[in-house]
Amino acid sequence: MTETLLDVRDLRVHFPIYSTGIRRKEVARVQAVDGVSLSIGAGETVGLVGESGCGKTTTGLAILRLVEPTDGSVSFDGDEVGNLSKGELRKLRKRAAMIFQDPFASLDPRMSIGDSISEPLLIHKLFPDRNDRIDRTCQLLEKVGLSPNYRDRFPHEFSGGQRQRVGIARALATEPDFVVCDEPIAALDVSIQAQVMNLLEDLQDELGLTYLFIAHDLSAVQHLSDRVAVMYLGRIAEVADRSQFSAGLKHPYAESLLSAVPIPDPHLERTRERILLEGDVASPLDPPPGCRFHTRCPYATERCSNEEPSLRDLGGGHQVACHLYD
Amino acid sequence: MSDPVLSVNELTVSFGTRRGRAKVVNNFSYDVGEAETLAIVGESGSGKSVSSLALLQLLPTPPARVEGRALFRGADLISMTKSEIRGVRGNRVAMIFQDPMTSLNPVRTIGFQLMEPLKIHMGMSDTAARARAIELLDTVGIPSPGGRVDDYPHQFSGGMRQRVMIAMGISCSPDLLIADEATTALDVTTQAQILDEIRRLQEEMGLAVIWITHDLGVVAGIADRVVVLYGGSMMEESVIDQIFDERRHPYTRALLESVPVSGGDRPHRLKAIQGLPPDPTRLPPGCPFAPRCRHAVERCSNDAPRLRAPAEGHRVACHLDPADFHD
Repeated sequence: MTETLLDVRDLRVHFPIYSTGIRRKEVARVQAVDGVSLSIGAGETVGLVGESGCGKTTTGLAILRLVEPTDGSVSFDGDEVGNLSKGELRKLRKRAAMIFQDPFASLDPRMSIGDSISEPLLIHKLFPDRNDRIDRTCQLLEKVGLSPNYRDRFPHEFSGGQRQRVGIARALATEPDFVVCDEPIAALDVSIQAQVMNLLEDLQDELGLTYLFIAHDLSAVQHLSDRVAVMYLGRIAEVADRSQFSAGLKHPYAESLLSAVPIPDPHLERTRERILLEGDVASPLDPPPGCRFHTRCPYATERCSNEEPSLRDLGGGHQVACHLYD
Repeated sequence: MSDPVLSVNELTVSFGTRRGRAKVVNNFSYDVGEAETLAIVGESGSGKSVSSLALLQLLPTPPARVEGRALFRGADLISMTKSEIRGVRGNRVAMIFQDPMTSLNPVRTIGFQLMEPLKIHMGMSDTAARARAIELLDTVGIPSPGGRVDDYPHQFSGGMRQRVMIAMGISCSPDLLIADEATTALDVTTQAQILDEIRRLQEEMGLAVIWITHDLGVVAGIADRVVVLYGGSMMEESVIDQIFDERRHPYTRALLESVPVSGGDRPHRLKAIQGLPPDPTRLPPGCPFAPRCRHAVERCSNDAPRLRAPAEGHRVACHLDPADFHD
């Protein structure tokens, strides 16, 4: 594998819940992310999938310290992100950017898209000359497939797909090495999703970007990623690379998640076996002891409800957190 | 096929806007048979939701103008009076919407909302309706329904709420259920549970279903027949296998090629459809898909193709033959 760019160790993000009243006492904790370890090599795309509420977005935010991690370490290119001062953090955010899910909410409606894209340049004092900044903005717009003439237009004048392109241009403005893409295609139409996925791939080839691609759409994640990490209730259940993924996922949750993805082929849909999960995801307020999936797992044994499985390597970097593979 | 449950004929829906009339649905005709699932596929703005809202007179008129006929068991839904349609809506034709949070009343219990149609349409007493409500919750797979019936919507998860919506939809044993993106907001695992539930109910009750979605994977799993809409016009209609196997219409073809298929071991570049869907106030004079079509010839941009039937039960609106496609 290439050089490691990002190394996340035992990351935890807990959100305290306080009682109402004057003496706000902590009454519970939402354990959104609870012991995630993941490393990403330079130029690699790692996909992070899971159902809503599994902590995938919070993981992405915590890596960039957009939410403060409760515990654990994140090291970016050798620097410990948790120890950075405000000024150093600003430098980090020049190198590590984020593309957000909702292209309607992530752009300021009162700023022209040109201003939105050039704001990071202003903050990082990258192109002090106004004309240079405008040139750079135009260049970025072209790079994401929009006309530079759109510079003075406002977000409401664009479609969802175009807005997502603006969001991508803004993220790329400071020439980052690493981009967290949080559900960048979920809000888009089917015919537009492919356009944006191709754009992300082209930009990676051109600029040598490293992606953390967060999504709930397993087929999109698998298409874009070199490695896929499956999350369940704040923990990573399985990490597999492309060939291991095609050979078959091992963790019972990952297996059932994959089998729930509808396939656009009626012949396959009629014949394939589906693993239907019973019930809903347990609450991250009070996660079950032992393996967090044991309440819904068809193979659960007594050990699963007592003992927490750790991620173990099955060879070739294929990691699974399940007692079945001891 | 025996007499269809619903037969829609030349349905046209337009809205008055400041920029002129927006034609959102154009001469849309289709049939749904007994115990059949018809999938209506399209992107946002293709007219798939509007066409079904129009059937139940759920669009405000004006600004909407609805033309055409929709015969449900022989009676035209479009020309019914308000009180007539009220007798059909929620009773013999039920609808499930995309977002179960906004379609349930947050200040009423699930039980109250489930009992309401039973009391109105079936004339049930409070006790009978309550017993039936509990039975319905059980049917859609809600654990300990007796204890849940007095809960409020916020006490249910997204998947549970959608199950409640389905329970409400089937409460009066309708002949036709219209599901508008009913599983889009749900996680895939929950979606699989709901799809299974619908299939089971359909088998038990002989329900006809119109399933509106943009997800071709869901369509492949649930539909008997598929209608593909684009820019308010029908592009193709056929039984499920033909749609996926033959891909006669360039739009259907492009749509199927643009989705990544999981399980493919080698990453290939997706064939994206260039451009944007058309603006309904400025529809192109010819085929609505022509500006984005890879195979378009001059004729396509001037002359709107009529639906033709290349095979029994297969209708396509395209000037070209698949043999002309130069991929």
